[in-house]
Formats: sequence, C-alpha cells, structure tokens
Amino acid sequence: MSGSRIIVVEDEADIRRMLEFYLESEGFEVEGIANGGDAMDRLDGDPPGAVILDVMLPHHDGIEILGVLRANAAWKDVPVLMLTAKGGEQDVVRAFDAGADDYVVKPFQLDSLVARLNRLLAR
Amino acid sequence: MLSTGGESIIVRISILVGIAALALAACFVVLTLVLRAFVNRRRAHRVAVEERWLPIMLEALRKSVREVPRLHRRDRTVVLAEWNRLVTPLSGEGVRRLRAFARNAGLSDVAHRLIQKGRPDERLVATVFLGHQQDLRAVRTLRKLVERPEPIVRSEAARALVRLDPVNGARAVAPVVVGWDDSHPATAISVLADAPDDAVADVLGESVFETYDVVRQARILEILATVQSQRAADVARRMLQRTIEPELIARSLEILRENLRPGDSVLVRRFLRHDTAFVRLRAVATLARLQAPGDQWRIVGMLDDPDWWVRYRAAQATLQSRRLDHRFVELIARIHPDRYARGALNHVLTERSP
Repeated sequence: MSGSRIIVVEDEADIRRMLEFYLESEGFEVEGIANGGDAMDRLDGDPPGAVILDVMLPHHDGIEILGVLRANAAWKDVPVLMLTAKGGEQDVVRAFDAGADDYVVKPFQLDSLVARLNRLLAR
Repeated sequence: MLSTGGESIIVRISILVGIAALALAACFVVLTLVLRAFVNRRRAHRVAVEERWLPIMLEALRKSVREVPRLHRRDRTVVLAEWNRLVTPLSGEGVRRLRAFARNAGLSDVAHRLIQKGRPDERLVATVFLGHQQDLRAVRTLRKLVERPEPIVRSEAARALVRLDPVNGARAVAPVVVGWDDSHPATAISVLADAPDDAVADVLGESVFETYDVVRQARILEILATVQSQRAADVARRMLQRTIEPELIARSLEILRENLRPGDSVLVRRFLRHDTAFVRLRAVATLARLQAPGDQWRIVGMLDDPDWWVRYRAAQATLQSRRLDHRFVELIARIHPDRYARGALNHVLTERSP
C-alpha cells in the first residue's frame, strides 16, 4: 500500500537503486540497506511496513537476518519478502521455515513484486 | 688494503648507484601516481556516465522515454554495461521496456559495432547486451564467438544465443558446450539454464550417442542428469545396453539409481560380476535401492567380493534390506564361510550399533 515504509536489503547497488526508484514511484517510502551487518544494526530501530530481503548478503545472510528479525519483539510481525537468485526447492523451504512471508526468484517482474508487496501489507 | 684512488672510485660508483636508485624510485612513484590518476579518472567517468544514464533507464522501466541523450563514443561501454546490469535480474514487462529503450537509444547498433571492432572487454559487454536484447542480427557473430578458445568469450556468446532464442539457441549451443573439456560441467549447465529443459534434454539425449569420446559421453550424461533426471535415466538405460566402457556403465548406474523402475533390476544385475570394481559397487548400490524380490540374495552373494569397498557396500545393503530379518543378518555375520564377508558385515553392524 502506497505510503508504507519499505526496507530493501540488497547488496547489488543497481538492483537496490532500481527497487528504490520503482517502489518510490509507486508511492512507497523506501530505505535501502547494502549489507547484512547494516541490516542487523537496523533491527534496533523502528520497524517498517515490510522488508524486501536478499538471501546472499555480505556479513550475515538473509536467512540469518530473518531469524534475528523474527526473534525481535518489535519486528516479529513485519512482513518479509525474500528476493533471491536461489530458486531451488530447498532454498524456498529454508526461507519459509525461517519465517519468510513470500519468496520471489530473480529474474523477477517489477509489477508482480509490487503486487505481492501490497498483498503482504494488506494482511 | 685499497689505495686512496681506489676508495674514491668506490665512493663515486656508490654515489652513481644511489642516484640511479633514487631516479628509479622517483620514476616508480610518478608511474604509480599517473596510473592512480588514470584509474580515478576512469572511475569518475564511469560514475558520471551512470549518474547521467541510470535515472533515464529507471524512468524507462515505468514509461516510454522519447528523449534520449546523445551517446558519446567513450560512454558507450559504460552505458551498455549498466543496461546489462539492470536487465539481468528482471523478467516480463520490465525487460520489454528496457529493450524498447535500448532500441530508441540506438544501443543495438553500438553493440554490433563493438562486437566487430571493439576491445576484448567491449566485445564482452556487447555480447551480453545482444543476448538480452534478443537481436537476431547478432546470431551469426555469436555463433562464431562460441567457437573461440577464450572460455569467458565463448560462454558469454553461448549464453547470449540461448537468451536470444531459447529453443533454437539451445539446439545450436548444447552440442558445443558439452565439448568444453577445459570448463567444469557447471559452466555448460549455467549457459543452458535459460533454455527449456525439454529442448536441452532432446539435444543432449541425441548427442550422447553421436560421439565415441567416452569423457564427452560421461560429461553429457552428467549435464543431462542435472537438466532433466527422468530423461537422463532413459538415456542411461539405453547406454547400459550399448556400452562396454566401465566409466559410462558406472555413470549410467548412478543416474539410474535416482529414477528407478521395477524392471530395472534385470538390467542392473548383470553388472554385479563386471571386471571393474567401481562398476560392481554401483550395481550393488542400485540394486539395494530397488529392493526387488530375490535381489537380497544377490547382494548377500557380493559380501565375498575381492574389493573392500564392494564388500562394505554389499554389507550396508544387506543390513538395509527390507527382505532380510536383522537376526538373520547377524547369523550371516557369524557363519559366512568367507572371513572377509564376515568382517564386512561385522564392520557395518558395529557402525550401526548404538
């Protein structure tokens, strides 16, 4: 839903900038984070409306961050959409087991990503 | 003892060597500074070009961009590389919009020029671009590049051909990429990743019987098993009826083990007495997975095999058999006439005991 604040954790600068641009043009307020360490630090702050989280990140991977996020009282109900190049069945199961709400595999469709994000925010 | 004249010569030589060393060090410092300045300038240029073009490309993801800035000659590689980075993680409408933008901006023509006359790095960027852009004019050039010896050039060209036309590209490229003996099979698998599995499996299933090169056949089987395990098992069955090469028999049995049918035991049993130990080993492992009636006795019969690994695997299979009672297995471990068979079974029983 437009107006919501979204955190995008993605180490590839071009993809992060693309998501920031596209989501902002859809009316979201977007905060980009480039690595797992900064994402962990950010968990001490205010929770956003939703998180888009890459799996393969420097310092801490997305699954590890998700585990810490779900253990944090203030963040545990924040919807998390995993965005990753790892599309194997085991990877998807691992992400859902860790508490992901949705899982999108690269290459992805921007419109479809926004639609999934809106669905998560509407819950 | 040196004379005063000799000392002055040594002093002079030392001074000259010192001056030469200082001059050389100064040259290195200047060279380093020049190179750093050059790298910084290139980096600054790249950032400037990206800052100018990225917002326009991102805008193109939302709506059609009519006014595109003029593409300067020295900016073209950076722009193509940026476009490649943006399009790679996307699918669907986003890709179509970026392709339309590239056509408007004349990037395709630029890529065609670069692939013919550019530097190696420019050719590589252009190769990736033409694949994503699905520009059919590039097919002939890309097919030539697939034959090049440089691994990065040929694999990017092959990948581009597959992106350009997934079905026909895979048909053209698959028989070539499986022959890249200096690359890991994972390279071939990743090159073919964008093609439909059926198309790749069709080509590989045929090409495995069109060569007599055992290494290549084994490689094709391995790649095929990753692409479509069911189809690979069908090919493995055919291979087991045709080949006498131990390497291929073993590889086929390994593939078959992941996709067994009840009738496969007849095919597998005859390899229990093969001359090569690793073939017998795979045959035992495959029969153990099948658990067909009567095969439990064939597996027990392998306990006195001359090779330790075959005996060990047969002992494991004996213990895992649903058709043999555990107490009966313990009895065999005590009374088997061959002491090596008893040793193998007792080894496995000890491993399994709590």
